[in-house]
Amino acid sequence: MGYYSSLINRKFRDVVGNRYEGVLKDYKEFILTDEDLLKDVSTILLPLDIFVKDIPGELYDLFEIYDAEVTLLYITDKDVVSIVDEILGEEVAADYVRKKENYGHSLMDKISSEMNHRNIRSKSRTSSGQKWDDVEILSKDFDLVAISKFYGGGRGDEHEISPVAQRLVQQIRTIAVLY
Amino acid sequence: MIPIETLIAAVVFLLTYALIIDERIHRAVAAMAGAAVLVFIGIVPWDSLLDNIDFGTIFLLMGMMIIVNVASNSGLFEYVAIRTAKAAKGSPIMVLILFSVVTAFVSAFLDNVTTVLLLTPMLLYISKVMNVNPVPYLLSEVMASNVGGMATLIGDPPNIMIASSAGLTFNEFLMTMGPIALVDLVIILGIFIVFYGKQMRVKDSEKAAIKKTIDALDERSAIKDEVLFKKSIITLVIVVGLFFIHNNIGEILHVFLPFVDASMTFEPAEVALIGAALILFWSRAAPEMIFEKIEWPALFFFGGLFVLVGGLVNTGVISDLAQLVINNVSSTGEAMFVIAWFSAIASAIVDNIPLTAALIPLIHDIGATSTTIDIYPLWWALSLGACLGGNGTAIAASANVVVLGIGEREGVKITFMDFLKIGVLVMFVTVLVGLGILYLMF
Repeated sequence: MGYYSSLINRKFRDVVGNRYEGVLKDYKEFILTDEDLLKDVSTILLPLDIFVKDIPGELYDLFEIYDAEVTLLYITDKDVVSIVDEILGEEVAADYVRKKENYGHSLMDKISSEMNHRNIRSKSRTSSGQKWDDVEILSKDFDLVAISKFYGGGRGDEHEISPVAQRLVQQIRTIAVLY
Repeated sequence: MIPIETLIAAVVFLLTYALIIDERIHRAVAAMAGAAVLVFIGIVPWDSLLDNIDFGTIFLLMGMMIIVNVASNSGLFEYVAIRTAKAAKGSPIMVLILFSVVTAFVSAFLDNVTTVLLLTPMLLYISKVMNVNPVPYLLSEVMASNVGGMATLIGDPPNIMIASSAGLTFNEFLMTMGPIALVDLVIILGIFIVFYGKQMRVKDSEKAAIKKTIDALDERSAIKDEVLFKKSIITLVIVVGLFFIHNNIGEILHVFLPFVDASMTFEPAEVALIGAALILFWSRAAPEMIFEKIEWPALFFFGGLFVLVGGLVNTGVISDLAQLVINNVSSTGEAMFVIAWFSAIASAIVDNIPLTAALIPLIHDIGATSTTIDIYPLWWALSLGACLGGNGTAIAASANVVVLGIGEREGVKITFMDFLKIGVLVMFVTVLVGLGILYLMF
């Protein structure tokens, strides 16, 4: 049957050429197969901070569809900590960090438990650093990043999206979902 | 003693045939090289070269290629595919039936390769959504396309060649081969439901989920150019309408325009070229883009092939074969039986286009030599065998190869044996039934 297989391949090449590519491209414009939709999204990064109050149900639905592992990331802003340290002293800064991290853990626990309830695999991670740069660097290791419009703060009536979220969406090379 | 010219013509033909089957060299190149050899050694004289080429076939194919290429730019076929998918309402068996019927219908008017090329991506998508084995869907699609192509003069290249050479009309083809195609399609669907029915069952809840997903597809979004979409439909309707009346066009026009000769007729190729000119003019499509998409290799393949067969005719090979057939059959019925089964079995193994090209002059010669055999039914027997033989094996028809190739690219493996198991059964049953209907007709 080897001859027939190679014969079919040869005939296919001559009969169709690149016509199928064109047909497929036309179809892709209005059909996304499940495989296309889910392709290469097995890890998702979900950056969190004090400004991210709620995760909308639609985002959980999206995570469910992808059946990917979601990494919750809580970054304590290093610059803010150093300003607190300089102005109010080391003890206050340490207390600030502790309280921030506690808040981060409780927020991540809350989101993790909702994800567990929905059978979404998740893991939590905390760090101290810069939200802009760290998320951008870390995003390279993930297939998708879900960014809140509130992430990083500074969202007012005139700005629908926070400057941090806006910059991240513009800068990162990974597919991003803004919610 | 066989004359040397006869021997050379036969050897060149067989060698070219082998190259065409093997496909290591493009079949257009093989046919043209074979034709060049015959011209070079003088078996087909240069002065009469063009006399051997059936331009009716070539221009009909070219015209239809232009129409289809312009129409496909509108998203018409994707639209049809989505509407078909929605009409199945989430039932896998209905998907099989509706897609096969639509494929057969579209194949009756467009070439089979284009039809399966345009419908297969949707079929693969739906079988993924339904979570069912896509193999029966792909196989029924190719078999429906081969059967549908048999129904009309423009459906399959062998029919175009037969009609052009024998002077058969579109309506004659539709009235003779159409009912056979319809019965054979029902038989094929029956075979597939019996063989694969169990694999196509889904629960009612799953059916509802499938329907919901398919219903979410927007057929309007498939339309790339609304104006072109409408123009394409109108042009296709006009072209098909002209095919219906191509033999009586003068009579009809004479009623409204008395100066038109009532005996005027259009060749099918003229209809296709009128349709091509109309859609090119009306759509304002860039002609260089459309002409680029014409399958020139296929047209040159036909040209080379006609010259090769001309070599066989000129050297008497065909008339000797015709004599052999006449000596071994005593009636039209027997000749129909031989032509239908020989062309079916041979088409299952080799390309049906060169086979038809070789058998057409043979039938003409039988008509010229025999006093007892009526060749009119033989044309239908040839069409039946050449078209339905395409269902026999994976390499018997271009549509089969295309669908198998697409399947392979998309991870759906259909082996030569997988195809053979059902293909041979379908071929034998459909030819048997088709031949039975032809016997009843003639």
